[in-house]
Amino acid sequence: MSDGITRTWLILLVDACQKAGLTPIPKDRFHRIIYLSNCLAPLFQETPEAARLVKFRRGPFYPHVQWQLDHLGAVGVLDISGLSYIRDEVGSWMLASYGPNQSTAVIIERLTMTAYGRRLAEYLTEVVFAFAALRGKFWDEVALHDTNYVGRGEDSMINLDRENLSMRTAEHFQTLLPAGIRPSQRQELFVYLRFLERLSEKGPIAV
Amino acid sequence: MSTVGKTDLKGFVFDAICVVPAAKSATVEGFLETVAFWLTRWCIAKRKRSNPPSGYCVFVLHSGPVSASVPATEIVEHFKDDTTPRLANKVCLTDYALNRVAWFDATCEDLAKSVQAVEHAGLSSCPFVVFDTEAERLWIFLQGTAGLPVGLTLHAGDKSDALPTGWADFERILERIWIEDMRYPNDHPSLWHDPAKCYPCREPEKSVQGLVHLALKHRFIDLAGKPRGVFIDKEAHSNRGRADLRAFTADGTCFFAAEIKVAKSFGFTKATDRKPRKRAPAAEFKWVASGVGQARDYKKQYQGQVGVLLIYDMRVAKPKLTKLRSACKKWDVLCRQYPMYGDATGRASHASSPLVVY
Repeated sequence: MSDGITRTWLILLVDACQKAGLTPIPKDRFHRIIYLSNCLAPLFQETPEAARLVKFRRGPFYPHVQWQLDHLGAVGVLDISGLSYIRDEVGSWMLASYGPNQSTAVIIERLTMTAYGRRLAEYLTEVVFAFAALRGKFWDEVALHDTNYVGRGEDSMINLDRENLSMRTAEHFQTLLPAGIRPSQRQELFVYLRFLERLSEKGPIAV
Repeated sequence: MSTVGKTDLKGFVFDAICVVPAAKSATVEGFLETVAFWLTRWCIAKRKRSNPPSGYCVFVLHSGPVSASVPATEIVEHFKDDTTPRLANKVCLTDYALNRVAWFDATCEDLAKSVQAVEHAGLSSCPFVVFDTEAERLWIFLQGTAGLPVGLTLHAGDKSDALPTGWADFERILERIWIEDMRYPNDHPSLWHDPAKCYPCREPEKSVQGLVHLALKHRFIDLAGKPRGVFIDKEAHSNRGRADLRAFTADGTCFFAAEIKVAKSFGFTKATDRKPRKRAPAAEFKWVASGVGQARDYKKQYQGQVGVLLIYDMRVAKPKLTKLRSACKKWDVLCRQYPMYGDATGRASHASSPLVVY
């Protein structure tokens, strides 16, 4: 993906997070939402912003996204707050939270003038709201229970282009519903995230 | 960790889909569904309290920074996760998902004072919902104080609404919704452009469908705040069109598939119309009658127990649509005509002309 697409993706996501009451959103949580939005993008016929990810011990993390996020903060498109540094057994780590500001609104207005921008905004809004509808205590857990993510060793590569188990699971739910109910893309998305919440709370369900 | 079987997964998926809001996220309609769902759970939690406080509260959609005109507020994070807060005399500024709420105390003794509290805080232009915690009734102001409100009574965990076993149960609930929330304009002012002249609002079908869907959906939440095994859906796409309303159980029984028509003497035909135009009765009848075929198609498509045409009658005079009877009989479709009056002065005579059943 080009840098422009990544930045578009990030700005629209931060805006959706604000509408859902999630901002200022901590960096780690934001990367988890990006991860989920990548996994489930094909549900809405979108192309993932990043289809490959190396499993990291702190949870889903995209270095190139972090660079763009900080860049957007530095140029004043996003607000950065709660900046601090920690050092633990994993190593050094920066903590920060991100939120929109007045210039974000102007940029979003421009971005949603294009059909691509509107379509992407609609998808990312639904992902963020499906996430925000979950109980707050599971927000940092759900991505770790995602079917692409769970059960893989540290430092292993997750390649959504090759195999996307999240998508397959979300689509599989359709077969479990009565014949007359055909879930919409939104419903599949919301049900899948509820499923991850259920996994976070009570452990695996046989699929 | 335990592993549960496929049957449980089926139940889980069905329950999960029952509570997905029908409206798109980050829209006023989506906000309204979120608030109604949360308040339903709040009402159920209230039943367990010995002495719940009474009064009104307000939920104002305001996801941006709080302006200086708003009194000192307290921020509550993860607001939606707790269904037990004291709501009486509170004004809550919230995002679309009820996650972060900034609230302050205000005198909200009744509807008028609640609206005043919103105005005093400089939030008149924001969509908001006033909630009577005692009567469990919502007043929805989608366009802020400039627009007319929609009334809706929640029947959370209502024991009189036992789990439905067939169309007859839904019919009883629909009749109650019509009596409580739709029959007169003071119950549902926003449905009328000018009730005295029987001028309906723009797109009354959409408003009626939204209200009936919202009212039905939230009746089937149990005491734990979970769905009670009935999936209420609107605008379901199929190759035979879009069913306005339908109800399913987890085992796939479709209780009913309904087409909603609003019969009108006047209607807005163009977005630029400032006043509604008179509609020819014959053309209006033809349009309403087309709902019989649609209801039949939906019934076939979803193998529903019944196909229903729900007619909400906003015409000046409300003659019975008896000509529909033969079509309904032929196509095995039920038809219900709910009269909606522009004023309540003839209430006594209305009582003797309740809904019409074909």
